[in-house]
Amino acid sequence: MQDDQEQLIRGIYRTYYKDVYHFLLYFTGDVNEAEDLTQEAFIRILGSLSHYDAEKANRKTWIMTIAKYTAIDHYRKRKIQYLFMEKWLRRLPATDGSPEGALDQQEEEKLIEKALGTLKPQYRMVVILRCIKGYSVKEAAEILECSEAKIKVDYHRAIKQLQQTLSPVGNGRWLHELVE
Amino acid sequence: MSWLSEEELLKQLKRLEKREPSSSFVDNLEERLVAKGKRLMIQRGRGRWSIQIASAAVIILLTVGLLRIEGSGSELKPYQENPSSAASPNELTSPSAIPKREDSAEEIQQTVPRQAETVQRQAPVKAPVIRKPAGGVAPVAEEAVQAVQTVQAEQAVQAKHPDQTKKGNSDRAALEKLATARFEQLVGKDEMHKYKINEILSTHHSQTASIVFTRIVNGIPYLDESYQVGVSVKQGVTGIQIKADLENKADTAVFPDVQGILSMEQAKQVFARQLRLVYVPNQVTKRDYFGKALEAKPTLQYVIPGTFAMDAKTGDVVNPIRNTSDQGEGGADKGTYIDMQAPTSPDLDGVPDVSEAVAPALAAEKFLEDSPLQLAYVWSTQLDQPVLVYNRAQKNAGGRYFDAITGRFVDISP
Repeated sequence: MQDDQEQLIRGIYRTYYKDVYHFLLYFTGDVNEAEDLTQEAFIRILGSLSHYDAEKANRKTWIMTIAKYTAIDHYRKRKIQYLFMEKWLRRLPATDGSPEGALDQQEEEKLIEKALGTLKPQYRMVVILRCIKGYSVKEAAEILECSEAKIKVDYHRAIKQLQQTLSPVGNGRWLHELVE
Repeated sequence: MSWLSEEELLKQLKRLEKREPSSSFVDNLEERLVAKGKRLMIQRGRGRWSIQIASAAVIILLTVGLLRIEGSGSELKPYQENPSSAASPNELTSPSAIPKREDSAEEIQQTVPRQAETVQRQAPVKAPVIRKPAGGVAPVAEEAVQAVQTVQAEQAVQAKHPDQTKKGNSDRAALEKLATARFEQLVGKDEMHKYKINEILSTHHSQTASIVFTRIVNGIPYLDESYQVGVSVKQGVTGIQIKADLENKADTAVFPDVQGILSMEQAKQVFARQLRLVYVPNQVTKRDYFGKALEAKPTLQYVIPGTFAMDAKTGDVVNPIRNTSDQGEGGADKGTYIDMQAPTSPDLDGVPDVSEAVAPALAAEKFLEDSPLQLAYVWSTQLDQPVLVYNRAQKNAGGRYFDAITGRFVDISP
């Protein structure tokens, strides 16, 4: 019995840890916080495992829903800091231009990660699920507990916002503070 | 790159998925979750056990009560049969016995004491009888007897079959068969003869197993080409981990022969000499669910540096020994090396006395019982050719330490 339980926990963890981790990483934008929250999310999953009803929810969406609530709880606790960060990021365009070619892949990823942090949480979650993790509209709607139409609208708006955030600001200047 | 292109943006976003969490974090969290899962099971088991005990106690009380009622039949007879009794048994529940709202206060006062008196005189003890005065006795007794019989029957069954050896063996065979079939799919039937199940590295539980197939060269396992297949009686194949030589270097490599190698006994002696006694002033002995230290105390520990491996021909230990235990098995994060030639405890309060520590040979025995030595080929990236080594498969590393005073491993995982 205990072995079964162990195998089940290991199976779930190995199957979903990346999804949960990525979701929380790109939601928080911080590796340490993502690790802490991943642990918290899996502990919640463990605690709720006995109540999980496979007929009511797909396991993946059930797990990601728990991850979502973990992220939301964290966001509520840290709302002030987040708001501050968002404002700060938006207010400080870089003064030195950075040519496109000079950005290597790692920098581009950092830039995108930080741009993700400027999106409002709902948009951020939609982008993470749809664009990064490749979840279907239906799955994203189940996880975020909203209609598929809302997912589509949020997705569209989020992409537009990201494009705006990442686009050069006048005279070839970049929002270079996003790079660091 | 044009950031304004949605296609490019999506491509960049998708690339973020490749970012991996650190392997130490992943592994640690997995172990913590498993440990927590076990703890939860134990807690739930205790809860169920308490309920079962409470239920059993209630059943026993009911049974004893009923037996006492039956034993005191003379007291009951008037209750059931004596027509001259002030109130019939039915009086307790009869509508006529219940004072109506329009009854006068006097009538109520008269009725209520009479009922109380009846209860006191005719059914002086038994609450069950009062609750179920008519027809409730026999069913309750039957239920109680049935429940007791059921428990006894279950206990008898458990006593007759304390171990599920035969079933366990069949499960084990079935799991190995399942893993072998999956492995055959993976490497192909023609290649199967190159591999064997590595019993030392494989782990078996009652319903699950992790079967490790290792390539065999000169009759010796070549550990750097191993496949771990996770199988479960209920779920089938649950996962595969591959440690493979993708360039097939092993096909053309020269593997050292087994001539002139040290014996297993000699290897064990070398292993025993690698053990180090360390003083750890703040060994964490208890952690919470999140791995946060709750308790710590000074301890003496035996540690082994890194994953033990020694060249089977020269006897040279591959892992260098340092004077602290920060790299070894046993969970000691920080340790002060104690000279084994003339051991003395650090001059601090609460430090266990070194003279009370178990002998290194005994500690070595325990370490090897836990994870035995095996003769194997390994081929690290720094080496041009594979090497024949005695190494120790660490199945249970981390989350514990070896207490030099008690001579036992102490689990400190959360």
